[in-house]
Amino acid sequence: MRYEVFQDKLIPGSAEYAMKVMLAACSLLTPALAEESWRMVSAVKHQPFVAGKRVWTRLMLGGQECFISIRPGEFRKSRPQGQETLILEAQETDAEDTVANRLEALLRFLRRYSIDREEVRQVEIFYSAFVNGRTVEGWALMFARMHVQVQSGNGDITKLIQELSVAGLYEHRVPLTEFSDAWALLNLQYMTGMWMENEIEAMYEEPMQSFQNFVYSAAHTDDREMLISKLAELGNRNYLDGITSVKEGLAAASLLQLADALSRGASQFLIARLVAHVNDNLELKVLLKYKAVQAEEGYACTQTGIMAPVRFLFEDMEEESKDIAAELMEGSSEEEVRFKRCSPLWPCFTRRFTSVLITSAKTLYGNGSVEEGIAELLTLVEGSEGASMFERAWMDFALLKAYKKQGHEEQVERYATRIAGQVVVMRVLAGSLGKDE
Amino acid sequence: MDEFRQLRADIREEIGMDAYSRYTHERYAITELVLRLLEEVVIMEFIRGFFDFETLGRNVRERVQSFSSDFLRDPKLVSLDISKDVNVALRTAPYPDAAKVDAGHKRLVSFLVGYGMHEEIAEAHATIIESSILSSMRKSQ
Repeated sequence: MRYEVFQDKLIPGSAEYAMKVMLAACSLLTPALAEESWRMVSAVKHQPFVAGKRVWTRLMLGGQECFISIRPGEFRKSRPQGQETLILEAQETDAEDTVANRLEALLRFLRRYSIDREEVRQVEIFYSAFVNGRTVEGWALMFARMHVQVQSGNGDITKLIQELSVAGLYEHRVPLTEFSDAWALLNLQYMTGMWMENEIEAMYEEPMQSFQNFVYSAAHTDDREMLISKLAELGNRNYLDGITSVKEGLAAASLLQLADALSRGASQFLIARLVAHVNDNLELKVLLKYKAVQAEEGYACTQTGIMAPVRFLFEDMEEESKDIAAELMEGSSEEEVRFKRCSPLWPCFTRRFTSVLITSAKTLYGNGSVEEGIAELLTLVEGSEGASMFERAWMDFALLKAYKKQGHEEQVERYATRIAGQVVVMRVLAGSLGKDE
Repeated sequence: MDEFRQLRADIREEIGMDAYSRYTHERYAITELVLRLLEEVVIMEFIRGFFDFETLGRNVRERVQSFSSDFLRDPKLVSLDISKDVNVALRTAPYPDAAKVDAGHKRLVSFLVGYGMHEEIAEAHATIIESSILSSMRKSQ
C-alpha cells in the first residue's frame, strides 16, 4: 500500500501541519522502538470481540511479554488471569505498514507542495537518520556538553537550557523519551549541586539507568534528605506542569500549538514517571502528590494525542467526520464523541477543531440541519483567530460542502474559487505546478 | 450545549489525569461512563447541603448516598442513574451563602481525597470545580 498525505488531496497549510505532527510522532521513541510500537498498534487494532470473554493480545515489546485489551483499553505486563480471559497471539502485520513508509510519504508530499525549502531539508535529514536507525543528533553528546557548561557556570545558562528544550521538544532532534530522562538527570544534578564527574557522555547514553544510579548514590550520602526534597520538587512540578500543558493544548488556537503543548506535556509526564518509579524502586519515601500510575497514564494519554495524526493524516480528509457521524448514528452522545477526540485522556484535536469536525459530521453525513450547520461553522470561522492556515482551509472545505448540500450556488462558487486560488498560489510558490499533470 | 452538559465537560477537563487517582497498578483506560459518574457524584457532593432532598422527590437522598458510596467502592457497582436528580438539584437548589459554600468545599475535598487524590491536588481541583458549579447555578436560576 502506498501512503499519501490526505490521500494526495491538497489542503492549503497541510504541509506545515503534516510536518509538525509527523516529526513529533516519529521522534517520541528511538526509530527501532517507534517501529516496534507501531507494529504493536497494528497488531491489536483488529482484536476480535468474543461474547462473554475479555480478549487480550499477547505480544513482545522491547523483548518483554505484554498483554493488551482494547475493550476496555488496558495494558498489562503480567499475564491476565480468570475464566473470562482469552489470550490471543499477535497477528503478523502488513510489512508495508511502517512509520518509515509514512515518513517517506510526508517527504514526497513536502517536496511537491512545501513552499519552505528549509522545512523539506529538515525532513530529509530526519528521514535519512530514521531509516538508518539513528536520530538527528546524539542526545548523549548534546547533554554531556550542556552538563559541562552548566556545572562550570560558563555562559548564559537560561539561554542554553532554552536551546536544549527547543532541540528536544520542538525540533525533534532526539527521541523525547531519552531527552526527558537526560533532562531529569541534568536537572537533578543542578538542583542538588551534586555532579557526576566521570564518563559524562556515557552516563547520558542510558539516562534512565544513570538517573537511578545517581539517586541511589546520592541517597547514601549525608545529603539524603535534601535529595529527597529535590526529587519531590522535580516530580511534583513536572506532573502538575504536564497537566497544564495538556489543558493549554486543548484550548489552543491552532493544531500546531496543540502539537507543541503535547510534546512538552509528554516530556513532563515522563520525568514525573521516572521520579515516581525511582522512588518506588529505592523506597525513598519522597512526598509525591501523584502516583506512578497517574504519571504513566499522563504519558500514555499524551502519547495517544501525539500519535493520532499519524492515522488522521493518511486518511481521506472526510474520514474523521464520517466516523463521527457513524458514532452519532449508532447512539453515541456528542460528549462521548468529543471525549474520544478532545479531552485530557484523548488529546487528539483542539476544542475548536473538534467542534468543526462534529458540526461537519452532523451537517454533511448525519441528519443535522444544513442551515444550522452553516451558521455554526460561520461562528467557528469568526472565532478562529490564531488558527493555522490548514484549519482555516479545512473550515472553507466544510462550508463549501455544506453550501453545496444546501444548493447555494453563489456561495459554492465563492468558496470553490477561494480554495482553488490558495492551492494554485501554494503550488506556484512550491514550484510544483504543472510537474505532475 | 446546555448548562449541565457544559458543567460536566468543565469538571471532566479540570480533573483530567487525576481521574486515575483511584487506580494503583496496571494501566487502565477509563471509560466515558465512569467519568460521567465521577462528574455527577462530584457535583452532588458539593451541592447536597444546599437544599432539602425531600423537595426533589421520595428516596432521592438514599439514592444519591448509595450512588456516592458505591462509586467510591467501585464504579462498576453503580447501578443507579442520578443524572436527572443532579440536573434538577442544580436548577432548583437555592444559591448558597458563604457558610454553605465552605461546607460544600470541604465535602468535595474529602470526597476527592477518598477517591485517592493528594490533599493539595484535591484542594486545587475543588476550588475550580466549586467555581464552575456556582457559576452554572447562577446562570440556570
